[in-house]
Amino acid sequence: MNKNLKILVVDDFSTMRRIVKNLLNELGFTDISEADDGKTALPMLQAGGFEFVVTDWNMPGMPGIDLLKAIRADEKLKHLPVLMVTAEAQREQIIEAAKAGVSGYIVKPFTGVTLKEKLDKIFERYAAAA
Amino acid sequence: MTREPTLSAEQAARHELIVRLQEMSAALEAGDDALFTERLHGLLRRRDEGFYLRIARITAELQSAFETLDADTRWNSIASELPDAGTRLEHVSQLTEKAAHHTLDLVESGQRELKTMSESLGHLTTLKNRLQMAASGSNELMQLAAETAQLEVQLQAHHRQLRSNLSELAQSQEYQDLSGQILRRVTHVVREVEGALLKILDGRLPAQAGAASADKGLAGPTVPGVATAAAAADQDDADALLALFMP
Repeated sequence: MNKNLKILVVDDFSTMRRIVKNLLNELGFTDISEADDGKTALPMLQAGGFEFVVTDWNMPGMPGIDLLKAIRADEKLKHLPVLMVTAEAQREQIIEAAKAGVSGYIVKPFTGVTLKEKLDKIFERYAAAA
Repeated sequence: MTREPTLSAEQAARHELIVRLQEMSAALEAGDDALFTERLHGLLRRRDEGFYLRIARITAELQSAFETLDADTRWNSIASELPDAGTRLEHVSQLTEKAAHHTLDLVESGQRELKTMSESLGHLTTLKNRLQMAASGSNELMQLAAETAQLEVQLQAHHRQLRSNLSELAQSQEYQDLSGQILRRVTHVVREVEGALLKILDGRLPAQAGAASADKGLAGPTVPGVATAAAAADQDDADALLALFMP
């Protein structure tokens, strides 16, 4: 697992961004940037360099599902792994995210163990596809 | 003429309708378009009158309900307390956010300490190894080496536990995200209800109703933006006031 991965964490709650960043740090990932909304995240991604996105769903400007769809619709970004970490636990939401091409879906509240599990799974799939 | 059995209003209406329709049918068959058209307009007018009557009744009921609402002073009291309720909810959200950030600051500081400690532990391992190498032949030194090795193991275990605790502590702050999201929704509902109620009451709020609210005189925690009957005292004020009454 390449620990030098450039990761973008997107959530409108600053405490959540910090917690995810802290967990990623503990797992050895240190190159982590933050955005407080899909609207601010998309231009950051389009500027290039990011290799992984962790995003919330419920955000006021551009919700995570729309960010995901925008990423998958962008030629340069469509292969980015996108992990959703959200309190949205309705079946329809999860199905919608799956159909939109989400790489992993974590339901809050979650543990560091779950985060590591999902990350490992995503990396495995990407390694296999390579 | 024999008296017919008394019909209910609905039955009478149905009967009349049947008679009208029979007249219209007969007029059509007879080619009397004028009569047919007249009867048709009559039917349509009756339908409209029925509709307007129902609207008038509903409007009268609504009007009466609004007057009751207006006359009920509880609504005025609630309406005047809602802005404070919304402000309090927002304040709670900010309080919890600040507290969570503060905890995370302390966690990160602790994690940095642990990193330094980790380096020291690494150094201890080096010393232990050198001691073990130098110990051969000397019972005392071998004893020292063994004790150092034990200490190393214990410290590493403590380090791991602390690291795990800090990580969990950071994780536990996520309550703020979930509670914040819920608070946000409730605040939204409160603001919507406030807006709707104010519209209904048409701004007819008694002045200063908020100050004399139903909370039995206790103001509760100080919330910026929420007016209380008197300014809140700080610790120095409390100490000074108490001193006035102490013997």
